[in-house]
Amino acid sequence: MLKIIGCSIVFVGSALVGVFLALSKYERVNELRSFIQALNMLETEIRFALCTLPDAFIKIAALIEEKTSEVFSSAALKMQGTRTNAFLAWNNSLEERKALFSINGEDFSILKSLGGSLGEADVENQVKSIRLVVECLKNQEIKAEEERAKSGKLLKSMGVLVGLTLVIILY
Amino acid sequence: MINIDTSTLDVLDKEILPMLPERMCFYFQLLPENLKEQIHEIRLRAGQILSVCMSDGEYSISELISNLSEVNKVSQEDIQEILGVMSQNSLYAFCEEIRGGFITLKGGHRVGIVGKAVCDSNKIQSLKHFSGLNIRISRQIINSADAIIEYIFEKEAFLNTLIVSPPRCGKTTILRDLVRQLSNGIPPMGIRGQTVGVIDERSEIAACYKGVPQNYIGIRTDVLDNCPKVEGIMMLLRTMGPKIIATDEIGSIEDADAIMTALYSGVNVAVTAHGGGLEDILYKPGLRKLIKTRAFNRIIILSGRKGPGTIEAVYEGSNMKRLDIEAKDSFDSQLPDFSRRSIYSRRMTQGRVLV
Repeated sequence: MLKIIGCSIVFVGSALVGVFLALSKYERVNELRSFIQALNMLETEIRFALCTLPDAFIKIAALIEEKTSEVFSSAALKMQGTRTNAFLAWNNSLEERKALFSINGEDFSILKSLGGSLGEADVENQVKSIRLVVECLKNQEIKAEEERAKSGKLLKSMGVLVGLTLVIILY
Repeated sequence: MINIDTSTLDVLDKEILPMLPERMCFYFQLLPENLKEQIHEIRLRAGQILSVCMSDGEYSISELISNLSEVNKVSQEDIQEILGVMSQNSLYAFCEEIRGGFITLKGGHRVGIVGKAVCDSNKIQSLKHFSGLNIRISRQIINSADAIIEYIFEKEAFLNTLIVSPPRCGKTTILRDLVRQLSNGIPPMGIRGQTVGVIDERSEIAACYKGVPQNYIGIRTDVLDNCPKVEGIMMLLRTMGPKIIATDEIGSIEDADAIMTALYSGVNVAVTAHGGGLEDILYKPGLRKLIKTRAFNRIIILSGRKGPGTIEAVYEGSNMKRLDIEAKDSFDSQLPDFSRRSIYSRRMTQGRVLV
């Protein structure tokens, strides 16, 4: 009896690990999309409304998915009323929440590269640098989507199979 | 937030120093309070020591604090950083203002900027490589217009007024307070408040921050911020139905035409102009035209002789008689000393300028 319970725990655990790994691939696509959406909004706010960065960040944070929105609201808070510059505010906000995201190191460094160009002296340059980051993120999104389609299913079935194998070996 | 009669100390500590790097704030902590009170402007120049302007001139911080062992020079990075903080890391949002050479801070303080101008067909596109800042501490002085109020009403009716003074002698401060009083009404004189339209081309009168006036300019005042005067006057006339239009620093023929349009539309004006006296303003084509056509009922000349806002002369616009002294003095006998201004004097005596 105990053996059966043990085996089923191992099986279910392993299957769940597979599912979670697959989910994280799915999450990465979602997160990338959310950042792309946010940066597109930022571009609009800068180009047409000439919003200051903190104002634009707060507006965006109210409109997007929670995890991403926290990065924007925290960066806005950091910039308001302190001497923290945009680069530090953005990078620190990203760094603080790195663990919560499923996006990989490459995605992260693209997002961070935005920090260096925030607060440029003219609208055109500012918009250009945001677009560049959006383009890079879009490429990452395509890659992430492919990876999800390829390995998502694989990971799920791997989880189940590894679970089964362990059960067979242990039983 | 509206700053009414706040002391320079408060303004400096709450609104200006948070924008500066800590080591610069440190200098201000060392300054005695009576000196801090007198600061009009803070000047930062790349490669130079920080300096401050008081009413009697500009002093470097090392002159003011004797026991300072070493004073660091302001670097270009400092200036870039300060501008970053002032613009909330969003210089792009201020590109229009930077093109005009200044940005306005919350609280209405104007920061003049110099650097390398980027030009395209003789027009400034923007500034880059910022190398100097001039932070002008703005302080609204409520009731500063009281001294001129007695001259500019005739039986409760406001008279078209031109205020003339050299820079930093209080013309904008007085105009701002005049706008406030006209807009709120002056109950002791039985004058009701009227709709006032302000065209604030340099964000100095109302000192708008994100469009909202930071100075107290009255309850019946509409402000067009950062708007060119000529278009602004037309816009206000068409849409806001002002009784009085107020604007700062007029001078060109276009300004004069716009003001004439306002006058012909039955609107009164309260305007200011840069100048040391009557002869200076007559040298400006727009003002000469306005004065010749007797557009103004009152011309008030200010100076900084006994502190900012000293009234030097008040003229009746139609016959150029002085009102502030005995009426026997006509305009002719009051013509300023032309000997030190040879160019003007020649033009004036040729009769081309005389009103």
